[in-house]
Amino acid sequence: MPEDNLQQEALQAIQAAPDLGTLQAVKTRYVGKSGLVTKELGSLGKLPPEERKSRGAEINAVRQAIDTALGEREAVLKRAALDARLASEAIDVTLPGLGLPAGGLHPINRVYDDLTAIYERLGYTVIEGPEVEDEHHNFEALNVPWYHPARDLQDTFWLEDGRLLRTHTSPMQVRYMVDHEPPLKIVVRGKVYRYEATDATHEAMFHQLEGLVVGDGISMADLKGTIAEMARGLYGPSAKVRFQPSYYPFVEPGADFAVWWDNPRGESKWLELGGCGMVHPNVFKAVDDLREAAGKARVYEGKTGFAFGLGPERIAMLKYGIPDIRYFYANDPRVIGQFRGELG
Amino acid sequence: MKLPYSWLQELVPQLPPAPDLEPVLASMGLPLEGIEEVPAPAEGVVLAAVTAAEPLEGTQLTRLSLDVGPHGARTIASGAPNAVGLSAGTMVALVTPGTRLGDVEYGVRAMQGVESWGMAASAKELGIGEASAGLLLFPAGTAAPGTPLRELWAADRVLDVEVTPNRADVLSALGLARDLAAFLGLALVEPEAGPQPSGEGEIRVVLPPRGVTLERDPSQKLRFGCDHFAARTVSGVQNGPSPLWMQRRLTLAGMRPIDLIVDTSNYVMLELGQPTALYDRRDVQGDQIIVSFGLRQGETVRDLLGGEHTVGPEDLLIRDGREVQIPTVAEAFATAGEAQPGQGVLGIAGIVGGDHGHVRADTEDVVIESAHFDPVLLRRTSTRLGLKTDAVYRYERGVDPLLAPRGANRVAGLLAQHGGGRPFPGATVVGQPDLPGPIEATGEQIRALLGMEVGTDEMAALLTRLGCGVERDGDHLTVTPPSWRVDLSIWQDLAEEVARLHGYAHLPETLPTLRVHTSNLGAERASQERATLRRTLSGLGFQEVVTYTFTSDEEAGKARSERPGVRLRNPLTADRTGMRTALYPSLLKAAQAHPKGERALLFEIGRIFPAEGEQERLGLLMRGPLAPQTHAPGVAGNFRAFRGLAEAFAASLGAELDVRQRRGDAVPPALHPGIAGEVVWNGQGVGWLGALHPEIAQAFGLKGDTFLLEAGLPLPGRAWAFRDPSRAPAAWRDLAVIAPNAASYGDIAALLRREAGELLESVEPFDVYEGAPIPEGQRSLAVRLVFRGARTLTDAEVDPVMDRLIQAVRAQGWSIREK
Repeated sequence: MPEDNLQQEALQAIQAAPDLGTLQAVKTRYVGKSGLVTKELGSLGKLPPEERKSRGAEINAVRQAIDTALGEREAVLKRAALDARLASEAIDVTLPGLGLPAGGLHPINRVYDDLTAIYERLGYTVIEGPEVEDEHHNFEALNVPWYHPARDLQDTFWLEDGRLLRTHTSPMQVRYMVDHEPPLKIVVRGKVYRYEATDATHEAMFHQLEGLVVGDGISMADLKGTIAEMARGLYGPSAKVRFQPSYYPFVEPGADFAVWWDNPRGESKWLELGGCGMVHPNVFKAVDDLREAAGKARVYEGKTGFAFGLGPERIAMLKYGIPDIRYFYANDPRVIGQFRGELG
Repeated sequence: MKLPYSWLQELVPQLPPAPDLEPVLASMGLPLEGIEEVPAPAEGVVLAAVTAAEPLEGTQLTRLSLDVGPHGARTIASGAPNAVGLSAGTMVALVTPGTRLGDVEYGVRAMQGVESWGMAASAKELGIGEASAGLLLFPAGTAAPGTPLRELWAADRVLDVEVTPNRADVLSALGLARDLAAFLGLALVEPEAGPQPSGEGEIRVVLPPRGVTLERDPSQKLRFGCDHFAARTVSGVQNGPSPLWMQRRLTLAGMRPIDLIVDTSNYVMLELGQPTALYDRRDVQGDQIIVSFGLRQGETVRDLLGGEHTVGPEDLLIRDGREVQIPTVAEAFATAGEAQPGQGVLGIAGIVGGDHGHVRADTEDVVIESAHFDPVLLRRTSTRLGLKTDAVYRYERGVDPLLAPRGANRVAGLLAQHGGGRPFPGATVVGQPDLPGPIEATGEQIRALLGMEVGTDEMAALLTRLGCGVERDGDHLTVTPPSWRVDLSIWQDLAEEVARLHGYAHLPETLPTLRVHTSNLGAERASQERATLRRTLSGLGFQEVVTYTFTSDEEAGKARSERPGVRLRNPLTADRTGMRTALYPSLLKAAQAHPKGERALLFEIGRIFPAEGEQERLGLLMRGPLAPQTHAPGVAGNFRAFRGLAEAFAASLGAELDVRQRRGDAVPPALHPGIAGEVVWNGQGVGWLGALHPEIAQAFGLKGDTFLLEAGLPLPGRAWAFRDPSRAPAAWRDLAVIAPNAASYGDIAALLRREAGELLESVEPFDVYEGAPIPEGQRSLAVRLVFRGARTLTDAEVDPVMDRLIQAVRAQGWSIREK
């Protein structure tokens, strides 16, 4: 039987094919368009019809056997080729990756962001304002007249043109109220300046967050509740607030506030964070005077409101245990690069 | 303010123990800065009288010869600076041999040939005080030599109370005791009043006219000068050391004992809060005191410490009765101001006594001045003269205007008790201080402001405890504050007192409820945009920095930024004399904090202060590799990488960033003249970027390339809203333009965009080539142009556009590189 030989020969060639290219050649030789088996099939027409059928079946069986073997061998060779490629592509994944830069935010601004997020949730508008101020907005309109001993508390950088570097963010209370009508809820963030020699806890430049709420029937209890909300936002649900009487000329009554902090990493304690109080009627009067001078209606008389102020440096120093306020502006990458991710 | 606990306890006998006072005082608004434990001095420390003090040649030491009573005559060598020239009789605290202080046992030593018998000690060495200016000294005759110090000097605690400027009333033992008693509901024992006067005094007093208006006072309020003056005389005082208990209290309060007369004046100030000035009657010519403004410009006054001050028509002076023509303030101003010593000036009112008239060791007849002066006037003079005394500290905050006679009587009483003086029965009291009228309030008003339920009857009771006169009519209160509470003037002040005495701890916690006011909406946009910028840059790998806004001419020169126009009148240091005019010098300084050769990728959002006004700015800086080389190549930190980051930043914000080449004079002075461009953000020029000029880099010690971008904020928003993407396929064409090197890619791309019109979707460079066959000084810039329309574009639509582009290129004098 020549077919048997043909089949045997083909199957041997298939098994012997070392790679896909050789296998393709074997396929062409036997079952290609002019392959040996294909030719046999083509010669069927020359046979008498009675033989044709049986002969055809025989040749088809051979062809089928060859096709099957081809398929199997192809699968084996493809697998081997893939394995070889994968083996050749292996790399040491323990080597470090391309050192792309990773950025971060400054710790002061992270604290600001935490604070403003709390106040935005409470419906406050976050604003900034000029750092160069005039004496009227920084002092006079805030019930600190030129002769007042409270001026000693805020040593001032004066400018050659008679203006000054704002000693607190409170002048923005005045500016905002002159431009807007009550009711209002704002927080102000920004740099402030004091004529002070620098040391570990004092800086000539630092930051403040100032809050102001004005409306009808705003009370000191509202102020305490607001500070308590902030405390819980910053230090978790166990935070508490303590108010003690204090004095700031632009509020009456005035208070200092401290927050009880359950410190997860150290001693739990009261943190004295800032000052606050009910807006002094003289401030409302000064605002109305400025409004009137600008052709606007007097709208603040008889309103009540509260204001508070605190320093993000102090919060950051207490929260993260930063020993020296000057670290914030030295911009040592080993220091400021630490304040990333959730800091707890 | 420092006060010994024992003093307060004398006035409030049921006062809780000192350690328990800290939270009490804090809740009164008078937090403690500290409590100093003052132990009694060790046994073996005795008082010794100096008999001679001689310097030891060739050393810093002084040999003190001492009378130590039962221990005989002894010598010691002392290195204390105040041992030099001690007058005979002055007493020192002597640590006798065999006494232990801490770990040290003192003995007899030979020092520079002197047999040093123990040691003369400072308060600090004895553990009884912080002051360590030198030896603890006592006036002559304080006690018999050899008296153990602890017999007179018991253990105590000093409370250091932080007093806010509004609470002048507690700047004395009486004031603090009074507030404690009111707060705790305890009984107060008033200090001795002194002999009550009957009839007129021996000294005539003339006060200045009321109602003077100061020049340069923006408020133009009438100033009264002096509205209450008590003068009393005591004759036959034997001046000498004050009693030890008085010295002890003065020392613990931080004052130095001098002699009975001076100490009495200081003691009464600490006790009652009333400053007094005591004069030697021999110098008070005509038995008359004239309180007047300066007679002319340029009057000079020498104070009792020898300091010389120039005063003028707005400074209040105390004069004796010699005849002078007292001009009005206006006349005095008109007087030509040649500096001349003032005649008969006893002192600058309420601030400091004069060289003329002050009490001395041999003073016997004393004139007591106890007065109330205008706080504004005194503050003004003391600030101008730079004289901050304990007296003016109290006056400028507000001394009880009715206290003057009581102060004078108390001084007279103490001088009689301890110096054998004879107070004249009568006293001169002139002036009539204006007391603020009653304050009207309602309980409801106060409750609403506090948000706390306090009954009106309780309010009345609390205010009465403070010393207020309270009349109640239903919910209405008419409250007359006591004369010492000069800080109470409006009903909100009463609300604070009610809250303080009721307890701030009882304030409830509520949240404000407000109507919406539409004019206040939308103001938060700027803050949110800023936050987005910061987070985007941080996400791209930039570290945020916050830097000092101060600068100096020198630094601006070094950085070639504009010289500061906002300049400090009182700079703290020479490197901070003005405010920065650009952000990049701050970024360069921040980069200096990074290790050399390492990547620094920084940004800051901050304010600059050029002459035309304050602006908010964004600055970026890049140094070092974008990714460092390790076992495999990194990514170079070159201009292309920096610009790529800027582009990614813009793309993240949905903005179009373009850069226009800057050349010649248009290059910002900070930049390398060949690597400089204008930043165009959504079509508007907002700032600049480029490489730092190498000379500036050298001046800042920054080796290697530094790239900078600085732009004004806020950045302009984009002009389009939404573009519906076309589903039609793109058609593309490549074009290589040969142009002189001076023609930037930006110029060429802009030309192509302009000429191509709407069908052109994008232009991207894919090859920049210089060299043969391109002529010298020129280059070939190959760009891929992508066209897209609403429908599939045909050649018939694109080809005419390409022809137009080629024509336009040629019209510039450039050429097209053929394939």
